[in-house]
Amino acid sequence: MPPPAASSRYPSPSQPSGKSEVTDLKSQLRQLAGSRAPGVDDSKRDLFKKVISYMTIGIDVSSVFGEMVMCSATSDIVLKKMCYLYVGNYAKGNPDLSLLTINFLQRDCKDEDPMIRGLALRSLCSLRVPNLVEYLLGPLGSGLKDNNSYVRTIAVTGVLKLYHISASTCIDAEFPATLKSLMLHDSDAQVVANCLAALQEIWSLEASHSEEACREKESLLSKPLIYYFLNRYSYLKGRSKFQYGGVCFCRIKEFNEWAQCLILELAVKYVPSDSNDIFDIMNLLEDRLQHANGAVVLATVKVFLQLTLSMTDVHQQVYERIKSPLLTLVSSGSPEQSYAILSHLHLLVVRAPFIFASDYKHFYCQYNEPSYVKKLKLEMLTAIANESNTYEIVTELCEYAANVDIEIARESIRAVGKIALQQYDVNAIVDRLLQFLEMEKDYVTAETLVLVKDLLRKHPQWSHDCISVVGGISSKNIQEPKAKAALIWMLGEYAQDMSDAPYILENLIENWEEEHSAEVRLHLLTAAMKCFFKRAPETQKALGIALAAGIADFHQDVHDRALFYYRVLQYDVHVAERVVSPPQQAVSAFADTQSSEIKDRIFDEFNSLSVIYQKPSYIFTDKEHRGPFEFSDELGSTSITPEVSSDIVPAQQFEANDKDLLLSTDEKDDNKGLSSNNGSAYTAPYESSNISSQMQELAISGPAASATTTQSSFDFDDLLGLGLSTAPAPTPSPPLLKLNARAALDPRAFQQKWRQLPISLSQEYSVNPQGIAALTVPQSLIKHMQSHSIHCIASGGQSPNFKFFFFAQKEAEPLDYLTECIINSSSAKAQIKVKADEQSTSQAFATVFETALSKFGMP
Amino acid sequence: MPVAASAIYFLNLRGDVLINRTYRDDVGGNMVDAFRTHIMQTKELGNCPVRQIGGCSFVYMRISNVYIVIVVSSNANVACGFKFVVEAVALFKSYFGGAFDEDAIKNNFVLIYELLDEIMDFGYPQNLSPEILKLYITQEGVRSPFSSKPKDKPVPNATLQVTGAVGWRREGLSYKKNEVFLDIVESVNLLMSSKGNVLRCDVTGKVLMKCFLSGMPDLKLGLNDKLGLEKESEMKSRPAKR
Repeated sequence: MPPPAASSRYPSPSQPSGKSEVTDLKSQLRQLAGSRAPGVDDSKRDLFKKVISYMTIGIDVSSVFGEMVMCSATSDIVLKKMCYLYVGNYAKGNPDLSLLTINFLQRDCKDEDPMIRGLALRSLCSLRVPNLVEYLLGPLGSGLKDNNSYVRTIAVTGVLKLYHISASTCIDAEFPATLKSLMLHDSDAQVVANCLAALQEIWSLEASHSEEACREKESLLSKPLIYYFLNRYSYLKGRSKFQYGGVCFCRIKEFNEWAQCLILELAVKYVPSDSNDIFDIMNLLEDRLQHANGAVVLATVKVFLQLTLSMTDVHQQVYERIKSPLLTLVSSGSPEQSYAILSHLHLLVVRAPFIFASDYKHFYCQYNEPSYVKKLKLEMLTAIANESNTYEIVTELCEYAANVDIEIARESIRAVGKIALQQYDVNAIVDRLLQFLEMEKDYVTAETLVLVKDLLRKHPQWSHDCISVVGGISSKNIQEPKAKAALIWMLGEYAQDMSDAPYILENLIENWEEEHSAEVRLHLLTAAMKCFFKRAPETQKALGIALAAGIADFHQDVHDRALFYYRVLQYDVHVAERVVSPPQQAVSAFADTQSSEIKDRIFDEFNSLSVIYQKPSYIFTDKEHRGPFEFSDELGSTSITPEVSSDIVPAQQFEANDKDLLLSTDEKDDNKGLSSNNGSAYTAPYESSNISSQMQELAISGPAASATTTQSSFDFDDLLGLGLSTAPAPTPSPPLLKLNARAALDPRAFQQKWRQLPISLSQEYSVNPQGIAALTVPQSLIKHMQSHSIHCIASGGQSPNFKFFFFAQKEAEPLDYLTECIINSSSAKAQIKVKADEQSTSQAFATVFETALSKFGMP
Repeated sequence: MPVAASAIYFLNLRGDVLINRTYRDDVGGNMVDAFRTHIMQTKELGNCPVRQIGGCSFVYMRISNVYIVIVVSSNANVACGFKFVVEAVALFKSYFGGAFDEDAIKNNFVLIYELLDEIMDFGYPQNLSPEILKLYITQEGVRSPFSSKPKDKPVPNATLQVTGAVGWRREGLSYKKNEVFLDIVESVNLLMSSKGNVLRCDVTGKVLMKCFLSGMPDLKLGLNDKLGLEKESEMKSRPAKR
């Protein structure tokens, strides 16, 4: 359309200059508004199209609102639709103008054409202007009673829309009751389905504050109603058939596929009265498994699985039954659709791998599949590998290792490794893994090294085969820290079998400065030690260099470990050997990352996003949406009960335990020194920190007992020099509760931990005036606490109440301290609640926290 | 709730919004910007068709040069979401006469708005069957099945169709001769290396049916496989369906 010159006949004051097209449209519309000439509809249509296209590309055309409404007096249905669309889009921003539209929309709601009645009613409900709600009631009421089903379906959804605009109006007009009777008696399936959707939403939102709604919500799950949906034959044809009954016709077929999903989802929540009930429902729904719509099939699968949870053998049969429909769905449809199905299949495969063991070929990757599908398939192949199919699966996986997609190649190597770790007979797999090393591709070698390391930890008997190959790898070709660390670990562990191990290590140590990863440097230290115990003369020099470099290292862990090794060596070489290089013990099982509780939760939320994300829904839905603050409020309220008792108990326990601790520490230390080293040598620093933590328990139990009065404990801190500021000093004195400066915890883990742990401590401190002054910028407190190794995970609130969630981690031990801190700036009080992995040190942590807080605002 | 989609967006490859329809107020209008910055402009695009940003989940698909994005704020049913997109695209294709791409959307935006209104109401999928929708939403837009003056051919009882369950069969069909024609079309795909190794091979088959049956009979078709590929493979087709 050529941009026409701006018309000066109808200057609009609200129109910003430069939008000549809009102004022009306005004038043209105005000309057409009153015209009744033949053919005027066509020109109107063109104009309307222009308006809508401007609206679509984001130009604000709200200024022609009045003209659009004037032009809406037409019998042309297309014009009407465009007008409704326009009105629906802009009404919310122009509540005053939308009053203009009410009139013509209400008139259209009484039109003789049901199509227009329906459209008008839909638009009327979509205006979303709260003060126009009163005009809605009449048309909605008559819409629900309309003799045309199209209008009724729209009216039903309209009720739901009204509920979202103004819940009280909707409830007061008793629309839910009307919907309920409509749901039970209407002859049209779509009306019934929309009623169900609307009622489910209304009642579950209402249930939180109304008992009646709660009851109504429950009643949706009653046996007659479920059977009504699943089983009722057509209202007109089959009432009597249903009554004599039993299992006969499937009402559910009358609904369209989307409504079927809705009903099946309802049926999932139904608690059957006995096993006959279960079998009736399953027989009824059997043929839904063959539906072309994947969503219907998945919903049916969910019903089957949930119904039979208590009947183990039937549950098993259900798996057998649902297997083939799901596998068929995976191979049809778009990749995205098969991804959705595969994710669910993945969940089932992990739950019952043996059932799918013979179908492993279905999970082979095809070259044209997107990587997200391949990834899932690889995981499934890993899960179903057993004695009978391992050989084939591993052969196939080895093919993928040469894949052009590097990510997939890596994944498949990892999959081979995982299979190797879960099998007893790894003979063939080891050979394959070692072949990977000969492929001479950097990423393949890197992944393989990591796997070989894990494999050796579990099956040390393979060391000879592996080491001979690994020994041939030049460490220069390996850049990835993880792989490098794995290689170094093997060099240290099997120094006696690899003739040039000390020299390779020496080379690496000489390049200490160029090694950026702390993990590699840590491993290098340990490997040098191990090598030293086996081949002292060759390694001595290198070890010396390594220790010197380690002690001078800027990374805290590396520094500490080097220092510790140095002191242990100084103390007694034999003790050092026992600590650093104890006899090998095979690891029997590696830690599972996901708890079974979470897996069950995801299973309960089958057929939803949870399965795709592999997380239960509470983690990713509304809570984050509402912002961290509200979720923390909720967390606070769930933990009110334990709070009361925990206020007193820890303090008493501390007093009682004080003396025991004093007496027993020595003994305990000795025991620890002997026993704590049965794992791998990585845990070496564990011992030292353990001693220190116990010492610090002792040191701190003094102030802990008297911590009830804030002021006195302050003095204590200062007297004892407990403040964190002294902690990083390089003196060999045992550190007090030392916090990991680089602690990391993701918000979900935090949330979960906060739920699980009881409150171990709850206290109130006063905050000094400087602190309050500095709190005007809450970020400054977060920064301040971070400098004391206490990290903030969520914060919020407004003056005078601020709320923070902090966490800290004990140095060198994965023990977390979670803290909720509420600061009231007008009363200058801070309330803290501490939850800790290790209850006994939470008091110590509180002290550290308080000390840090008291320094806030000080220059 | 299975799918309460909050909004649907059609984006071109650069991330410009071609058309959007917001069904619910629970997501902000800037959600599409989040999608653009976090997904389209990163390498994440091909990684996973379902992504979560800031409390909203994006379920998206690429169809030729258009991204179709469904935004949901609850724990929605993903399979349903994808199926909806696929069906919607099939519907648009049947309206546009085959092609579905950026140009087709730009040329037909009014029609798409109309269709989007009909196929989903307040986030719940309604009727997506082209056969039914074409009865009352026409490209020319002049035909209204309810208009008081019937034109050349009146459509009987169209509103019942609009909400009826069996999308592909009008009620009251009757034929003099009741017959069904079945065609089974199978094709073998084979990928072979230069040395003659079979890299991939598969067979895909279609059962095509032309049906002249009166009313709504239940029709059972059985395929039996005496060649012995499997002991029993019996496929029951649903009554008189595609």
